[in-house]
Amino acid sequence: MTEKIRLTTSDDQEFIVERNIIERSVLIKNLLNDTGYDEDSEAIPLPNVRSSVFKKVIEWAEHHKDTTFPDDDDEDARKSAPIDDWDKDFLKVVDQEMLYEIILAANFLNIRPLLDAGCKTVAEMIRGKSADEIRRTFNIVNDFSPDEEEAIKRENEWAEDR
Amino acid sequence: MRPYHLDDFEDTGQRLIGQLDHPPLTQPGPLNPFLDLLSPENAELVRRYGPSSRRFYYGIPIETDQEEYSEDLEIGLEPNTAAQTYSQKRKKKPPLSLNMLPIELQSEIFSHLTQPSLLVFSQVSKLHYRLSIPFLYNHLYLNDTHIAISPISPQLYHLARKWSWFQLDSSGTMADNQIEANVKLGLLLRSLTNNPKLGESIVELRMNWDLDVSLQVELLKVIRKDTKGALRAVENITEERMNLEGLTADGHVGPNGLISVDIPPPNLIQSYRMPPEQYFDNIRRYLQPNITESLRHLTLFLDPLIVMNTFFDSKAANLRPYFKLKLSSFKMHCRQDAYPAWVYDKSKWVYNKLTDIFDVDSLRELTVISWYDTWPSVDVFKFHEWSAFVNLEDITLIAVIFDDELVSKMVRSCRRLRRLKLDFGPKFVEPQSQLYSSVMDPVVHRHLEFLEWKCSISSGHVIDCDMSTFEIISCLRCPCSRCKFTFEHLIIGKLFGYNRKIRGEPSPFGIEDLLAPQFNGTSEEYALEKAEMLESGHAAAGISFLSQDGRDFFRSVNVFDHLLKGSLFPYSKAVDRYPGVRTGDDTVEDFIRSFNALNQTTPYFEEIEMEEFPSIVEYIIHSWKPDLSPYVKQFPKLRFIVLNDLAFYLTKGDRGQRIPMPVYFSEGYVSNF
Repeated sequence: MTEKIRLTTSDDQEFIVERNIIERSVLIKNLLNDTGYDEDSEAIPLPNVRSSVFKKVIEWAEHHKDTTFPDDDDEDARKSAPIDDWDKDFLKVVDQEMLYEIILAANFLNIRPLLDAGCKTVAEMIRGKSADEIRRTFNIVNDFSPDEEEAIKRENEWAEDR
Repeated sequence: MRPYHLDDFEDTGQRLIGQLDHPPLTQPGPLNPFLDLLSPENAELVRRYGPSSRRFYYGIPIETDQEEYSEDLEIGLEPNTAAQTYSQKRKKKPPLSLNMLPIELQSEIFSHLTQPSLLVFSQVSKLHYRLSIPFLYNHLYLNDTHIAISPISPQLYHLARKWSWFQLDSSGTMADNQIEANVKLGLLLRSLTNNPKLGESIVELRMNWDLDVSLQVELLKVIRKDTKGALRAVENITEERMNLEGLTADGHVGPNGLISVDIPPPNLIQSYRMPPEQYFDNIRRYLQPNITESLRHLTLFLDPLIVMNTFFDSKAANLRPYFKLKLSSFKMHCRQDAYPAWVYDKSKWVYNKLTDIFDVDSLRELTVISWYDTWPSVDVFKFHEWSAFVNLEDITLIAVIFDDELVSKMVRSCRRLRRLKLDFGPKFVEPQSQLYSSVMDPVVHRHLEFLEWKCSISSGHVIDCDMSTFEIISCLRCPCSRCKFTFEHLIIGKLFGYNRKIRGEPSPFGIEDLLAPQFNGTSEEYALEKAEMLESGHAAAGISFLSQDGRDFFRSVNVFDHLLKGSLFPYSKAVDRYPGVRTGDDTVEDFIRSFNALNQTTPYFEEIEMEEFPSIVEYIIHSWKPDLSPYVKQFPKLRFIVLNDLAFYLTKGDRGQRIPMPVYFSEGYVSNF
């Protein structure tokens, strides 16, 4: 029988997840291996992850339970690999706040492929935007003086398309 | 063209003093040191939601929602909110946004940005300047020609992901590009001189044979001036000066701290003129302190056995006996340069084979490049010795002699091969060869992710000519409706003058007799008859054109041949990892214009239009389906295939099937897989 793991999210929701699925999280996998978790053990607290976000993480992990991803250590392979079509759709339908929360959860739980997919999705959202559009979109205040702005443009002139 | 000097680039720039006083944010770390640099508004956001906040910083206890609420009260939100519900309180909180993520996660997102996005982000705010600059400067590719941008979304494949390069005018000539590139190199040098902190971010640098050497030496000097710099590897060293002046502090030749060593040739162009003794002294001076246990990348223009036996003394370097280089990559240029006889004297050699000098377990990447104008002995490439390096994951052979048995043995011996690039000059690999069997064996190369080679196309040319009979043959090799349209409208219609036939004008070729011998009706009736013939496979079997002028005609109207032999498709050392550079002055507009001009006197030829260019590319690629299919089906991990200079990436089609898509000129491309 598949081993079940109990976990509690930050809003005190308890989840029971199959071990092979939750082990997509390197954090949980290491924790399970290090602590000798059994059915009498207390639920593993996930103080950083809300239940609604954790549900999405589990949905992702269930879908990818048999997927082979590039090694976590092979940064070039990971970062240059295309986003899986399913992941693209999965992350497309969530709102931006949920997307960032998934990124945070993936980072906390150490699920590298989900973190990469989330970061690539945000990078794609940024692509093609002007500095003003980015400031508006992400509510960032321009704290450069006009002289500093001019200096940066000059500094990066070698890389600009002009 | 006179050399460029730093003085050519007027320095009117204002230094961004104080904005790069901290190391690049490649590692997670507390944000507090940066807070002083931020505007009050951004600093407040970061204080509340950034990594210094307990809420999102992994490994640190997280507040409860109640604590979040309390925090809100502390920073002055409406205090009288005792009756508010939890959900109401949540509404008070600004929605989580990009700039509220911990710095290390924002940095992680920035690592996926393209160069234009990094440039834009560097102008958004001081914090984002700090985050984007390291990625802009980490890996610099000094190009001297325009770099083609593939229409593939970076979300799908981020090609040449790590490099930043000069954005050069795509419509300029190669000569224009080179001038522009030298100017931009000067601008880069100006920025690094004005703000030395920028140079600290540079990890890898790829030099260029065709850019001004003095500027490149100056660039190395500026980067190396600050020994705290991150520079680890420099590729493509073209002249001794780059090593001896650029990479060596104050002209003192000592350990340079890099993990790469490039020993340049005596002359840029191979020559029979003996190099001066100084050249050999310089090799010794540079190698002796820089061949170390930590060396990982080595590039030589001489036989590595000669270099290690003649120009390096392991005892003097205090290295252990039987010291072997633990390289991860080795690049060997094979050239006809003339050297004095003593260079080849083996009487005092202590290393006699490659396995004596290179650690077999470590070497992962091998590149062998031939510069020979005439075919040398195959021994110079040492294929028989490389077969012992069974852990090679990446093999690149460029312009080497095709030796079926030796190359095949070498390829077969590497069971972990992930990347393979084979270029035998004009020689195409035949399907009957041992090498073809080795490469196509999915058991042997189940790990292959990248393959580039030139292989005979089994489906033949799109337009072919039998020189003995002056018979020109064009086959419709793909039955899809798009190819049928191109076949009828473009190949038969425009190139071979059939559109004129439809309009009732005489055509000089025999096509009408073959395709529609009984045709005597209206154009609509003719079109119908032609469509039926296509449906029945008649046209797919081939159409012949009989003409005494066939040879000239064939050469001039064969738009597909012009395309494949032209310089429209960019060249890349590896299309996924390195930028694709232009190799000629052609643009699509130039190509179409010159093709039409060439055929101006061809009887009944009709000019092709710019909009038809994608159809021409698609028609060729569709005709290659039988040749591309084995790669798609048999190589489970293959992501890129460059077949006869056309680059493809593998992706999923609508039905979940694997399909090859062209890396360049793929706008509007529809796969026939």
